[in-house]
Amino acid sequence: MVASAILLLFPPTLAARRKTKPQDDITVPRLELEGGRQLLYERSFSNEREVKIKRSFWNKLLDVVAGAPEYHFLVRPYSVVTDSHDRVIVADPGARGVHIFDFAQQKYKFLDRTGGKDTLSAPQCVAVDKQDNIYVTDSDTGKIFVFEPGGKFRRAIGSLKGGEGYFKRPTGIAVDSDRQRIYVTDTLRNKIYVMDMEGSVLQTMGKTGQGNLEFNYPTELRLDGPNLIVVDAMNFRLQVLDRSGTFKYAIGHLGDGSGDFFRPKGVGIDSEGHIYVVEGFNAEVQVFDTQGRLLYYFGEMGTGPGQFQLPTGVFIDHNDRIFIADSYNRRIQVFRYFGQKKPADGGGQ
Amino acid sequence: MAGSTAFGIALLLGVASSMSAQVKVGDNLNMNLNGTLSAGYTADYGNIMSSDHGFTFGGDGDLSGSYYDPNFVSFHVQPFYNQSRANSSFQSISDTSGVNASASIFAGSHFPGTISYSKAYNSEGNYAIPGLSNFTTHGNSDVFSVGWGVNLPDRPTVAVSFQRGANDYSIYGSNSTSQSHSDSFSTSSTYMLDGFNLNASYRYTANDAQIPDLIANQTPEASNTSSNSFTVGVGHRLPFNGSFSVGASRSDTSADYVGGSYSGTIDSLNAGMSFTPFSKLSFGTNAQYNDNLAGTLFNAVLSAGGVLEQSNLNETSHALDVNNYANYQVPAAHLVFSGNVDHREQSIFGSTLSANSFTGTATYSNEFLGGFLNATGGLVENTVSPRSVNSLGWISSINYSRKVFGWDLFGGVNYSQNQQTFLIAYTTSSYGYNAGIGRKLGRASHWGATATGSQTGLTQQSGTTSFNQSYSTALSVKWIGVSGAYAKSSGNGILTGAGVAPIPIPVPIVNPTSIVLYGGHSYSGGIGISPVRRLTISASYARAFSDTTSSTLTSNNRTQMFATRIQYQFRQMYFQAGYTKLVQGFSLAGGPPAMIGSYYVGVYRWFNFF
Repeated sequence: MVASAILLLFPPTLAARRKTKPQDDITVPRLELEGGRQLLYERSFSNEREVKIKRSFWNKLLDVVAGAPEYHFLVRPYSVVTDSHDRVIVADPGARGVHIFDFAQQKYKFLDRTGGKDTLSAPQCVAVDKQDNIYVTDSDTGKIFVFEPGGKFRRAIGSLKGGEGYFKRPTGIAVDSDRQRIYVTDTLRNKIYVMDMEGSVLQTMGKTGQGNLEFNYPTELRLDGPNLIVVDAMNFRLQVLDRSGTFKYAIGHLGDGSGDFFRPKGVGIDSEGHIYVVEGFNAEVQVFDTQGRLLYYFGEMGTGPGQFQLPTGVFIDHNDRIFIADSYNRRIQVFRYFGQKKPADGGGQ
Repeated sequence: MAGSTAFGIALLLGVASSMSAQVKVGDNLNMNLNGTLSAGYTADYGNIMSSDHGFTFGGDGDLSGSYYDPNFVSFHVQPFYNQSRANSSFQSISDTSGVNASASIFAGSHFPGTISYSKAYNSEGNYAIPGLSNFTTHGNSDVFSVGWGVNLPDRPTVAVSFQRGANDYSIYGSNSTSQSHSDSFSTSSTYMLDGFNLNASYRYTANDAQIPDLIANQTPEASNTSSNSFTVGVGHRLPFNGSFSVGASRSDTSADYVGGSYSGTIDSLNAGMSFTPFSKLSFGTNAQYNDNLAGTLFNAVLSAGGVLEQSNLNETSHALDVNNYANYQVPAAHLVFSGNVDHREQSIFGSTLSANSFTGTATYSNEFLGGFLNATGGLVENTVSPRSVNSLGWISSINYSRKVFGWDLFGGVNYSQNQQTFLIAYTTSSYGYNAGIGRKLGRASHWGATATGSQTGLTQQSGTTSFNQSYSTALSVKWIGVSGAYAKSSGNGILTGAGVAPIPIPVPIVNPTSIVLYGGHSYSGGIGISPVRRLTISASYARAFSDTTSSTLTSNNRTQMFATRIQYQFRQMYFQAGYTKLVQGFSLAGGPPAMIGSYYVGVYRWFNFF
């Protein structure tokens, strides 16, 4: 299979050319960038079975007699994040729950809540704090669900009397453990709420409009050093604020060309400060520098490695592994960026 | 017995261990197979069979695949053995076996074809009394059909199909049996020529049937019929969003039945046109002429599955119907006005009648007092000559729904008087009602109840009334669901292979010896519990009492069915146990009601073989 998934850039700074690396009979995408930088496709995963690789003799025997267990699988993954133990946490509104993939420990957990006062209905975005507590926005019930690292439900922020949610449509979420703040985007109110860790609203940012610090359906959030990056979806741009809510600069404008935004979804930051923006309509990821210049982009419409269908969330961990929620393909795709100080030591897994 | 058990377990494990992915045979044949295998212990007892018990096996499969490409040849085969979906899911009172198979050939081409075959042994079926719980039957059936089409661009389309079927069954609690065979062949063609839509078709059908007469205690009715019918038609678009169509058809029918025979030809012509000059206004006219109204009456009964023993069906008769209509909407007032002018002429049974009908209705649909209201009212004036009978009819209906303090409420009534029937010598009157209430109780509970009822009959003919009413309620509280229903009905019907059916033509036309009066009531209840995930427990009970009266005899009939089942799923294995009991009897059949009970304990496993 030809992996033409990673497309080349024509950047002002980082020239790139495509290579392919054979792995068995599958060719995985590989992008070579200027200065020895590389972007490699590593793998994709879609269900619980891929975590639990090693199975005991008795489990295998049970599989033969009673059939394989009903493994959980991604239905419509929207947002992805990793915690300090490299567990991959995926918010999946299609499955009405949150998947936790722990590849190191070969464990899997599915978080859901049904039937009670605080039912998890449409988990949209997910974030973790320093203690690995998991924060999930529910765009349907208007609440934020907090789970302990082990998956035990702790509380629902914004749960009012009668079961209603405080937020109209909470989507993006980011947690600042150092300052004990939770940032939440309320897409329908065109505002960002800043709360303490108990859920008390301390500040709101933004209002409806097209100017600086004005939003039109803001969605994802990402904290990066002193900055708070907001996907201002229907203004077709990113707005970069400081953590107190002061506007710093914006990136992007409406269009269907390279570097333009049409359906911006998730946003992530790598170790060199490059900003990765998922473009859902074109099924690609655009990478910008902090000046808003397009460096390169990768991805195309399809189902193969490095190809996407309606990609949404993106998260880049401390090892520069890039996790992308490939929503309609029902999978998470993992890439790895090798910056100038991290020479590539191999291809995909 | 132990050997059987060991064999069953070995079979399950052997199949399980052979699981693999999709199979590809050669370069072009792709196949998938999944299905279930079951093993268990079953015991049956009753007064119409010898009690027995033992280990039993069953299963079903679903083989699908394609050759070269699904648009070239694709196929689907579903065999099943010792299955019954009606009661305990497996090994209930009727252990059905059989196969369903179908194939699609050249589906992606201009010459698509299909072929299918199905056969079932000892399958459960129903014998109906209108408005009440059905009686239970068991029997065999098979159907074979093949079809082909030609869809070339800018050429006439052609479709050809053939079907052959056979069916036989017996009714628990009686010695009555029924057998039927049917053949049909049809072909049709359409072609667009200079804006004219041309169409033509031919259809041949042949049926022979033996109708069980268990509730009349007479010799079972038998009939042997065949018919050929041809149709041709042409249509074209007209200005003002209009269209017209004209057509003609000829149908030759011959029938032999106990005590008589019938042979006749029906020729009919039809024409119509319609216009919609504005989105708010539409109007049109339709006309139809039929040169054998008596034959049409006979065919209506035949289509319902009955036999019409009438001596004067070969008399000359004809019918003409001209209908003009107009509809006008007033969106600002949420009103729709409709008008119909209908002229009909009928000559049958030695008399010639004509009738003019004028109908005007108004319909209002809008939000009202916090709910939604739909109300219709209208008048019908019928003038029948030469009898100089004038009648004023009435049409009315009103439906309203609203949510009040968390309660979902709806209700409606309808009443009509002096509506003309298939034959213009008669008019009918009717009323009906329906009502419902429902409410969400807490977060995971809901209760609802409904009631419906109706009564209809010929205005000037006593004893033609049919009546039915039913009530039902259902309550779900978290993991428990309970439901109950009660129904009552009475009326006139004819005997058919599928039970008693409502009479499709005015009662006086049907020979009184062919009419069955029925009346009865039935009630049922059920409960379903799922206390933990993958564990379900269910039970249901239904009981029906009915009296059926033919021209000379009355039969008291009853049927009751109790079924309970428990199932637990572990991975792809389903452990289940069930009990089913059927008691069914007919007083005219003599002897006590038939009683059958069946226990089952076993396990089945779903496999994705390849």
